[in-house]
Amino acid sequence: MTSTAVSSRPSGDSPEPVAPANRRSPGHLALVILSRYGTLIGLALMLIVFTLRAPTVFPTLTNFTNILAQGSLTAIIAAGLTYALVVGEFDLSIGYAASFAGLLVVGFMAIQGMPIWLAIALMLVIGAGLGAVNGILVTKVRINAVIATLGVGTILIGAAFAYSPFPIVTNIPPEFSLLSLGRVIGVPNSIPIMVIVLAILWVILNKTDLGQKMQAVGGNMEAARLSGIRVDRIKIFAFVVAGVCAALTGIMLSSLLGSGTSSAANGYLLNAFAAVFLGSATLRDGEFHIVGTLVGVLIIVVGFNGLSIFGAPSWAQQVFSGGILILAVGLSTLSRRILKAS
Amino acid sequence: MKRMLAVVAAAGLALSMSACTDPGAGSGSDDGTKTVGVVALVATDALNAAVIKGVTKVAEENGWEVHVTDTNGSVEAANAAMITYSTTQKMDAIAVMAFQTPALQAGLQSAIAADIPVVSWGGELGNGIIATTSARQVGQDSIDALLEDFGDEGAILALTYHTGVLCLYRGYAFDDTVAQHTGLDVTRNEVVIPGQVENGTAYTSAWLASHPKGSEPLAVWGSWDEPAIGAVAALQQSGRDDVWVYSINGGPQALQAVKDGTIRQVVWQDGEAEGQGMMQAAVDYLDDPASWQQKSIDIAGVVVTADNIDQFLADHPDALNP
Repeated sequence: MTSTAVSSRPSGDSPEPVAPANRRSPGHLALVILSRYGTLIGLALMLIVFTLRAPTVFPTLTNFTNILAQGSLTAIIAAGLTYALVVGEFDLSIGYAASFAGLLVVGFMAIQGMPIWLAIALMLVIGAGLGAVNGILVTKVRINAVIATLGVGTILIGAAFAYSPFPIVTNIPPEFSLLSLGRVIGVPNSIPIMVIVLAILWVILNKTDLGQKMQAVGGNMEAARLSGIRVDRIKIFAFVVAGVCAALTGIMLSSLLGSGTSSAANGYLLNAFAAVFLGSATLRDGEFHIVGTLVGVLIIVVGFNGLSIFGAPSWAQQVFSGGILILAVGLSTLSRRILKAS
Repeated sequence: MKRMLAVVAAAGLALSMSACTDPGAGSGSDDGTKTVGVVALVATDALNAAVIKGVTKVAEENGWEVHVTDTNGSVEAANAAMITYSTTQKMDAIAVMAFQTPALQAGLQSAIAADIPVVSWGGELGNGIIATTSARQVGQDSIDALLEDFGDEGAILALTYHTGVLCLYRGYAFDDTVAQHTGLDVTRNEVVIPGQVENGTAYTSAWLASHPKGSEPLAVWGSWDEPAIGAVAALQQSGRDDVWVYSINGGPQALQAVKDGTIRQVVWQDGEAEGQGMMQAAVDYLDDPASWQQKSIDIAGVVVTADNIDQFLADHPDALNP
């Protein structure tokens, strides 16, 4: 195996029978709750504390809409990353791919003169192609996923700069901004788009044969291969999904900003990873899944929003972001270990 | 199509870069052509690119070649690039961009030892630096113009960035000036790179929640364009039109936003002129090093608003499409 298998699950944690007496003890129950619902409890606690401390500002429909709108792009790119992690791989190119897509889609319209639909469609295809390149480098050329995707991401930075070192702001059809800023029943379009994307990815991962194969590959690649699953194809598919989601994120960001810039979406990489790993500590035992990723995004965005409303200094927000990630994943992992030991 | 080909070419270039490095680029090379090594903070940033364009223009006019190293904001990479320029590539001059001079001691010592003049964009004048541009000037221009337009009563969200020397000194100018106006309630949030646009959006969105429409005069001050553009996105997402946004740099996005009415005022920093001034200082220094006096190159910003944007774009036809 040349690739880096990824899991927040403790190594070698095949399910072990737990003594019936222990299963029923209050301590055991508390640990089960902590390991599976710790992040949800944390999210609920944040919502309660922020609501109590700022009852007229935080728990308003406007603020919740803003929180969801802010989190929507992170959720889309993180959902794509979830697929790569489900099959046991990393994708470090997603932030750069999103920036690249955001620049090119605007360039396609403003410089090449393409209609909006064609520019978006072409960029999504290119996003899929970038994902396929990542997948082929990892599965066929057998380059470690961290190296391969970092290399592709770095090339994309250069390619974007070569395409346009300056932001592209003119000759962009005004209708393009409606992709993000338009509203459906008073809700910014980015929210329903996020819901649709996450729903599709959830269905594929949980309700289809393909999704079961992805989870099998991520669970035990050799066993999956021996059982007849075409592991390489499954992994390439996961990278393609990550590439498409990154491209969609970049497209929507450019729509929101009304321009294309070669580095605008680079910051999504770290938040996406944080969200996906937070999500792996939610509901399931260290597995990456779409609902968990959404919860992870919400924890990050709600925390940022609440602390900003209270006027917390910027350093406190960074400490919070890193601390909540370590706390959630650490508590979840620790609880599972204690449960196994019992 | 040319740009598409450029993308493909860049990809190929990146793959073959290790084979193309010229180890002896300075006048130590056989043909005697002089070369300036540029140490860029973030070469993909519009203002950085404008400065590099200015440096290149004067360099080429004087028959020099230009080498650019992108540090991606890393001071370690900046020191390493200066050492390489001084010892391996033996450049004739070094132009370093937007790093604080005290953080460049290793690189400067190397340049001093090799007798190579260093010009700085925004850094402090120090040992080894023959000239620098003022980082504080446009910050002062911005806050002065903001107060004249906005007044001295209300709430301001300041999106700061203390790691970059330009934004650091802009921030000093902002802080010193608003401190004299007690009617201003200032919230400061530090943005991070990468993520500067996203940060601008997130901070503004949260700040809006605690500053409802009609509560008081409201403004957002971006220490440079990208967080300000993020702030505009937050305002548009939440449907707010009661907050005035101010910015510095005057890159294409911000100028377009002024044209669209989503940014109230931007101070345009003439990066290309600053780059030209830096390179000219290096050329002049080498003509007569003995009589050179360290100097600060002060180029005032241009305050661009809805009232003068059309005239500004007529005067600077490349500003939107550099």
